[in-house]
Amino acid sequence: MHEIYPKPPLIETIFEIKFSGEPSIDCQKDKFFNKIRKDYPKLMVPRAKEGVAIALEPYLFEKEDASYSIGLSLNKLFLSCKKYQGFQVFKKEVLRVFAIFDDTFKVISVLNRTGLRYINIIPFAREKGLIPLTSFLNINIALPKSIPPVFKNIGISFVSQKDGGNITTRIEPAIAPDKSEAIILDFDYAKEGQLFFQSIEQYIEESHKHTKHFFEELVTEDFKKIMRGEVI
Amino acid sequence: MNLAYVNESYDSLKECEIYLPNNFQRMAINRIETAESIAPLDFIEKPMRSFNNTFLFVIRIDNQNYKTKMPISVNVNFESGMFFAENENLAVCGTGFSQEEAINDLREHIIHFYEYYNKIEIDKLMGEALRLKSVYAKLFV
Repeated sequence: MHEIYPKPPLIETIFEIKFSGEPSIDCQKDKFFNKIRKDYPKLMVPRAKEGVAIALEPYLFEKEDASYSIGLSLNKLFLSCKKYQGFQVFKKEVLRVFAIFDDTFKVISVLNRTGLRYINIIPFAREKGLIPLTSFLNINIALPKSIPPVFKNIGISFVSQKDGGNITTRIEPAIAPDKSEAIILDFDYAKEGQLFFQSIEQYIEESHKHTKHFFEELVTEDFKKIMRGEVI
Repeated sequence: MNLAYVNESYDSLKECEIYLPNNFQRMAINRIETAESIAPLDFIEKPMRSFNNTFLFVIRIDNQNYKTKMPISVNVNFESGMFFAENENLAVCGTGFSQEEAINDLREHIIHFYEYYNKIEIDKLMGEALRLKSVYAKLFV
């Protein structure tokens, strides 16, 4: 049993499925909306962007308090959560919403991709002008002796293979308008290939298992104290 | 550190990301594919966004490292052109014209009070000061 932290740095969790484009989904978004509008009454339509097919951009259906939203386009469906209360609660809502999707369209049985993404924001204060990355994350970058392994700025992205899926990790500092700074820690565990709608529960469980394990190993014991609320 | 250097470091990083020699295509590694339309930078760059709560793990003063037993929570506020970095539990505050300056000032104050409460004898203290002596005594490893 994994530890549930009372103060995680998580700002958003998303589970998404992608499938071959199905025009009937695009034409019948109203039917889906009618089934979820009681819980997700706010509708947001995508803005046109140069070079991007508008049909592939998701419509968003959002809860009144913006805690959850659903994204839907002709080739994807996702559930996003901004107030994460643990994986079991999130999974339950994913399965509920995805079952409504299945019941509405009844056309998607094969998937191309599933992805579970966790976006974390970790505020930090510089130490002598440098980012105290190793206070938060167990990252050791081996560099030649003449280059100190402490950084004024750093951006790292990597994709690792992990038991039937790929985990993409992005670590990137960012600066807010008031010049306060934070590290973005973005994880995405993806399964690709021939996947089945009926096995979504298995995929999300598997994705969570790997992502959680990775996160537990990546963050330092000091940072776990913050997540547990053990601070002065 | 001068704030201009911090901004410059973000610009340099962005330039490195954008630059790609001709005839090469960028691989997808710098983007996250799940719900691509959700960009964490949008969250950070909102006009009123501020990360006014941060943490200290080690305080380095005069070539000496003070490792905290528990992370020290720091609240940073901006008022009347000044930044204030404070920790209520330690009853300490630092000020400066930038967030970093205020936090550095706070670091110095924490060490000052750590040494002060370590040296002072218990019978010279009362009330809140007794609590602070006990808190500062357990502050560092």
